[in-house]
Amino acid sequence: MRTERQLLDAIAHGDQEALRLLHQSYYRRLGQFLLRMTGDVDISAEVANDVFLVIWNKAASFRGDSALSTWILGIAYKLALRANSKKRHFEPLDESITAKDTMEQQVQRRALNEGLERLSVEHRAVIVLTYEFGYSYREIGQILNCPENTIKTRMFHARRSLRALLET
Amino acid sequence: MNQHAKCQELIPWYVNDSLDATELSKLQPHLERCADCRQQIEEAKAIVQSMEDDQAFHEKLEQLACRQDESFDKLSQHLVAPRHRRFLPLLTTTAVVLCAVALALTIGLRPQSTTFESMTRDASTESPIVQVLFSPGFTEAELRQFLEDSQGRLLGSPSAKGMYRIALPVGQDAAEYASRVRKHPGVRWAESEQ
Repeated sequence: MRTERQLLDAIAHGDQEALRLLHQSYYRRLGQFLLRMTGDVDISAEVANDVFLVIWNKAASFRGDSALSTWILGIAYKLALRANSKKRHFEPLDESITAKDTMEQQVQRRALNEGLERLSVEHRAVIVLTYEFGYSYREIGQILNCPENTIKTRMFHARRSLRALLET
Repeated sequence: MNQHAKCQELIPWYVNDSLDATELSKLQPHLERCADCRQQIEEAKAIVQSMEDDQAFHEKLEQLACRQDESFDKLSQHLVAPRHRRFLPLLTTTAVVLCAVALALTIGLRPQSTTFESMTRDASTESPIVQVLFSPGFTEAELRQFLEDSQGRLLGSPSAKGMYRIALPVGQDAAEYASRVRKHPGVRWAESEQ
């Protein structure tokens, strides 16, 4: 079984099977991030395809300064920003609250979804990459191509906005 | 920035367990004595939990995941092998050179177009000048023919009365020319300019 780095080297040499394997292992993770960024299944699918096309074309330029997942999510973030700038607003995610949820859970989930929806995509990315993907602020800095302090500042503002919504 | 603020800043990454040992050693003693920071940890955990329990989001994610095979099929239609991409600069240069050669050949083989010349021109200081008044129906084609026959050139625009100034080749007798062209059916009047 080939490592991710070996897969990428093979992709750089035009190995479509290697790209298929990378696609297989990253598609869901990438989709999860893109869905949080765009809120739309169709747009996320399109952007995911664009991400793999960039990987195919730029595999040879990956220097290994960061983890492969960081590099891939960095590409996804840039393309999601571009996709978001083309659509009008973030689509709410809370339309399918189930009957088994308690009232308190429903209220909190609705507040969280509304909060995420209202956050800027830059702030949302920091929240998602931290709480959902478990990245350190250093790794998030690499993904979003920002200094670590900027990541901390964005997190501070994002948390404050979410807290305000959860309290209301 | 005081210790409390520094610790507050790191709480999200304390919750996701990504802080290094040095950061943890600074944060943990503060957490033991700071109720506010402990409260913020609980809030962060609640957010993590809400995201994990977000049924609507996970349903959408499943919809997206179902498209995985379709996604790769679509993607594979747009792949150009890197070994072919390597030759792209050479191919592009060749294409540009071929286009340039084709353009040069096209221009070179094209029949010589007649050069456009204005009917007006500055006169030499020695050119004899004749003023001519043409009939109202005198066409541009007739005017060109008239000038060609006399080897004359118009000088600027006609006067307010419609008189054209025509410069004749150096040495030509302007008075004789004026007398001759007055007989032309398209000319109402002609005289040499003193």
